Amino acid sequence: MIDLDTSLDKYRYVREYEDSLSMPYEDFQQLLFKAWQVTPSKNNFMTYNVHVIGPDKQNVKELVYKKCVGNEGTVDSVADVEKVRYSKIKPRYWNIVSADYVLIFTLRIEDQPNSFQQDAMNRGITFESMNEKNVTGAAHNAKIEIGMFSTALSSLCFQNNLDISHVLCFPSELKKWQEEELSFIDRQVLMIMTIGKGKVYRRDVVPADIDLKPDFDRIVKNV
Amino acid sequence: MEQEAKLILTNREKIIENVLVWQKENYPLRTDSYDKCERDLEFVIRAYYNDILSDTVRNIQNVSAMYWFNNRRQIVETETEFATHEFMVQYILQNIVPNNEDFEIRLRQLHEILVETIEIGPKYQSYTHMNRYQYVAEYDESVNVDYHLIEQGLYDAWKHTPSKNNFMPYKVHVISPKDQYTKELIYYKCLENETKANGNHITDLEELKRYEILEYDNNNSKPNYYNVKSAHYILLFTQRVEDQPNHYQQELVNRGFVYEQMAKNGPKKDSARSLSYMEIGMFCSNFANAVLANGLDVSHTCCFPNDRKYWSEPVFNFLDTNPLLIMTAGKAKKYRRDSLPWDYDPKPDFDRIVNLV
Repeated sequence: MIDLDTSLDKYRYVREYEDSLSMPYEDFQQLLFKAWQVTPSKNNFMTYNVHVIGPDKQNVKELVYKKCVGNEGTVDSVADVEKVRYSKIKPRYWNIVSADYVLIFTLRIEDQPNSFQQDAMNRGITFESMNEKNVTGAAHNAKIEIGMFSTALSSLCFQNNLDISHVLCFPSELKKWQEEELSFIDRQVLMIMTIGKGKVYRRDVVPADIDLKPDFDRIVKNV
Repeated sequence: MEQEAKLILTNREKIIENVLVWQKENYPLRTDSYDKCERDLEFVIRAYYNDILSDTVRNIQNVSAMYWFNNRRQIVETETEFATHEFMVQYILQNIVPNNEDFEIRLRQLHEILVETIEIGPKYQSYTHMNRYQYVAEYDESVNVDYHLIEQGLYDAWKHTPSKNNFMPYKVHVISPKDQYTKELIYYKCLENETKANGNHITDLEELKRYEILEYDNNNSKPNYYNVKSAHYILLFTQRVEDQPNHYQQELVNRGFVYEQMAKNGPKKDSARSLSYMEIGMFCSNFANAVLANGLDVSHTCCFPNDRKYWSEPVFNFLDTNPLLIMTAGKAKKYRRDSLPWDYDPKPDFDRIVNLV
């Protein structure tokens, strides 16, 4: 039985996952289902897709990894970033190659409104989640809701002794995801999430007392 | 107790040195690696200092929670650990801050939390509280909501929400029940946005009030945004540009790494906003879970003018960038589903969202 009770204190950023399979997909799907169930969505549109790359799709994971490393080189203007920065240590994105499951979140524009949404449209209400021509609004909502979905899923993973990490360094434009193995990606990529059993954590490399997040008072402001 | 707190911080090297000498004499087989002991003792002393200074218990809770991972305590036997921490407390009370009853009570309280957490583990929260989530149509303004519950939720969310490169590129502005005028203005901003979306953009407040009466009051109904007006607390999220990188971030910047979270303008700042949305979603989810656990309710609002130029009233001077999300919290009076059946307006099916490649 999958335990759906969970805790968030267990989060640690993973640099590399264990080789052995941590959870079969039949079980992992229950976690995904629960995350889908508890995540709210503006006007119930859920303007995103979650593409699950399982343990049998190593070639796809390696392609995704290459895109992230390549993106780092582009952003920091470093040619051959693997050679320059990662000849002695494994790149930050090694969690993608070694993860059991890699989730790619993409934008989704609704083309099958439910009857409530359709009734509202018939009354003249417009929804950005259905606007093919301008996806900016839908993308903003999608990002917030992907954050919510991934947090719900994270907590379920922790409770089942899985680790997770997020990757937000990648080329987001669709034109950069054109390989045949990635043909399931039909819109802008918004987030990558990796899941498995952690082997090497970032905090094994970067001590816990340096690189702290900003203090509570710098983030939360009592007006 | 500021002076006493400072005394333990400034004397920490002396305290740690004496504690380690005592441990080597009394528990010589415990470890060969005293560097780690030294580091852990320093964490605990800093936690005592911060908690005493700010009258909290959070720091010691955090430090002691590190003894646990994946439901397992990271040290097998606790006898040496407990004896060493007990000795450290005694040493402080006898040599650093002697004959101070209030300080002794406070230090003992923090020490007890440390021991209890090492023994039985941190008190985790259950994420299944998200099962209780329902969109709120109206909050119950006759009920008082204890700010402590909101503050605790905010703290839990801050603590548990990961952030790309540890920047947290957003701010959460908390508007409390006493700021009724500010809350009403936010509500009218949402209503203004509704008129704009419907092709009849009304910007004048008095006109908006007339619109409200005409469209809703006369029909004995309330706008979707009524939860904003009636909410006990409103959280307003904005983007935050980091201007004080931590040492690690600064080191990487010096080595040529580029962080969009520090960009003050241009496309990189836009990229950082994109991150902010994602991480705000994570923060909201953690905050929601924490307050739902305490029997409160939350809702989100994404329909509002998202350009700061529409928020020009003096009460919004705290907004230094465009608002990105409104979240409300409090005790619900009516839910959206009270008047809308569960089988009407469902979310898309699981298989339409999750795709196994």
